Amino acid sequence: MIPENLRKTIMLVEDNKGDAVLAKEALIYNKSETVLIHVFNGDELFEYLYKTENKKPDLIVLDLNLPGINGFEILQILKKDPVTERIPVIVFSTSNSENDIQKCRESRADDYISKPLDLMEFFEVFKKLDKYLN
Amino acid sequence: MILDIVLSITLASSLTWLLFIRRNLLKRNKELFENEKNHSKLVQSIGEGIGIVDDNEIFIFANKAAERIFETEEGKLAGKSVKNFLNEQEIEKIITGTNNRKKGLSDRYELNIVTEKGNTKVIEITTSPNFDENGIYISSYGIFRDITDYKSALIKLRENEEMFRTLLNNAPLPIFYKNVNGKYLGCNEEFEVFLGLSEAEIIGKTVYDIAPAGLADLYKEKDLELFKTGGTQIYEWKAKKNDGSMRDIIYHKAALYDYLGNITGLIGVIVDVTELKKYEEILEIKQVELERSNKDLEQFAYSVSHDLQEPLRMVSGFTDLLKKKYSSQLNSEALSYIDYSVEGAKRMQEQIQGILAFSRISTQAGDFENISLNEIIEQSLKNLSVAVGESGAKIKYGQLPVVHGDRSQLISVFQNLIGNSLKFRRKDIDPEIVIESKENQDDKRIEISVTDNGIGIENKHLDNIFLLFHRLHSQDKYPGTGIGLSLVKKIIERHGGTITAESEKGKGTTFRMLLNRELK
Repeated sequence: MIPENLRKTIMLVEDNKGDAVLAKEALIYNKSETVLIHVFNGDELFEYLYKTENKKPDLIVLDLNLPGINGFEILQILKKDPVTERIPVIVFSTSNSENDIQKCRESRADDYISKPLDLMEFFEVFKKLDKYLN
Repeated sequence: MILDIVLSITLASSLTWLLFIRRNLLKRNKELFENEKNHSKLVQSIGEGIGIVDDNEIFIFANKAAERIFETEEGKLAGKSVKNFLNEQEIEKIITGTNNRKKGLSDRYELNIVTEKGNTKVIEITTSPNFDENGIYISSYGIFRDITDYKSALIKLRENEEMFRTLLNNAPLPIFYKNVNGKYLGCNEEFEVFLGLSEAEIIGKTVYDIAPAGLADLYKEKDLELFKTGGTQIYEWKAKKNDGSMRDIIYHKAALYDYLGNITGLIGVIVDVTELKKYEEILEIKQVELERSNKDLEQFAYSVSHDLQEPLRMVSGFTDLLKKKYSSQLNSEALSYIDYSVEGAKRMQEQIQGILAFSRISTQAGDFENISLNEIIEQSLKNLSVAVGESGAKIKYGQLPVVHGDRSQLISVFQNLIGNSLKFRRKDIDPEIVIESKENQDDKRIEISVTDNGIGIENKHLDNIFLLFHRLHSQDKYPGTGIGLSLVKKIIERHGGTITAESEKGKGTTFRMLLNRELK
């Protein structure tokens, strides 16, 4: 068991509570020791990031379709700010449109993953995220 | 002796005198003869026909030109009656002419003759009478001129003029013509109606007399430009109609030339496009509306499909999770219910993906490029490699042409068609798919066919197979969304092509497409 303060953290920006639950289940299923911090939107994300006492996450998993500031805008802010630009950002969206993928690539997203319908595939996605954590 | 001498001298001198006289006489005769010969030569060599006709209208003399006109053999016109060459009506004419000449009048008139060879000619005759010393009419001199060509040219000219007038007055557009000084020479009825003036009122006027100065300035400027450049001229401007309304006009003008090629004026046609422009504007607005509405619809389909996937994932994900975490607490019936709902969610997702793909054909279209069909088919087969491998299908194609289109959409077309052939294969036979190209009469497009030896389609269903969501088989037999062929059709149509299907149930199906040839 890695002590809590040494564990890697994934920040999930997701307005759909169900997806957050599935993400947590995925980490349990994968027997991952990663900590998942869930925020519902951009405002909550930036509030967390700019609180100095908070440790910066090791990875941000970002939904595109969000209330308020959308995922593209969040991505651009993150990648422009020297404080956050080094944190890998994985876009995790229902959309698999070429347009969206292209836009994310241009905004320097580190990866783009479509949310799979199949539960096992969904769990698999979180296993693959490990490569960004080490 | 002396007498003898005198006599002989006298005789000798008389003889000499006589000889002199004779020589002189001979010389004079010769001169006379030469003169007559010259006159005859002159008459014969004149290009116009000359003849003398006696009081019974019989030629007593005719020169060669006259013989040529009447087309008789040489020397054979003399002795023939003029009447031989005339019909009843024309005979009347010459009798009147002869009667006039008997009164001492010269005459000139036209005659229609039928020559000895049977050709119809029009000749012009100038005649004058010839009387004997007692003043009795004995003959007429006549000069004949063949005016057949002139006459037919004249008739042609009149016909042309008539045709021009008919054309002018039956044309549904106002037409006018004017000289290089800008003065109207004439117009048609439509032009009269347009201006509310008669042709007589228009002729001789300039544009400044019939149009407001503001408009006339440009008319004049354009006229002068046309007189300088020659040829034709088209421009848009305005005109004031008789009812005072301002109309949008397209002027079509052409320079008029004389036979030497000098510009003598112009002819102009007025095309009133006021209404057309109004319709064009409406059409343009409707077009924009239609495009926006289409875009909205595609955007709507896209958003709906996209937004539907999210709750669907919840249904599918959590029922699956339920099964995973709590299967020990559920009986087999409950577990099968979960399977049904997961299965249903999966099918719904496939359909949503299909609609998404369908709406993306226009919203997320790629650029057109020249692509080898072989490359397209190889990529499609790569995408289908599992299905091809499982079915053991033989896919035959040779060197196929290069076409002009959207790469990923064309891959989608062949992937769907080949995928269908693999899916709807016959159980008793190895699947075989043949892809061929065929020249088409259309020089811009080429025909591509995909033929299989599958289960085929009943004729009555052929019309419906391209309809969205239309399926011919039950889900458990041949699962599917009913979107594939509609997608294919929409892509082909976006490429400006067509697709048709021929099939025989139990034998196989052929899809024929017209695709654009490579752009050179």
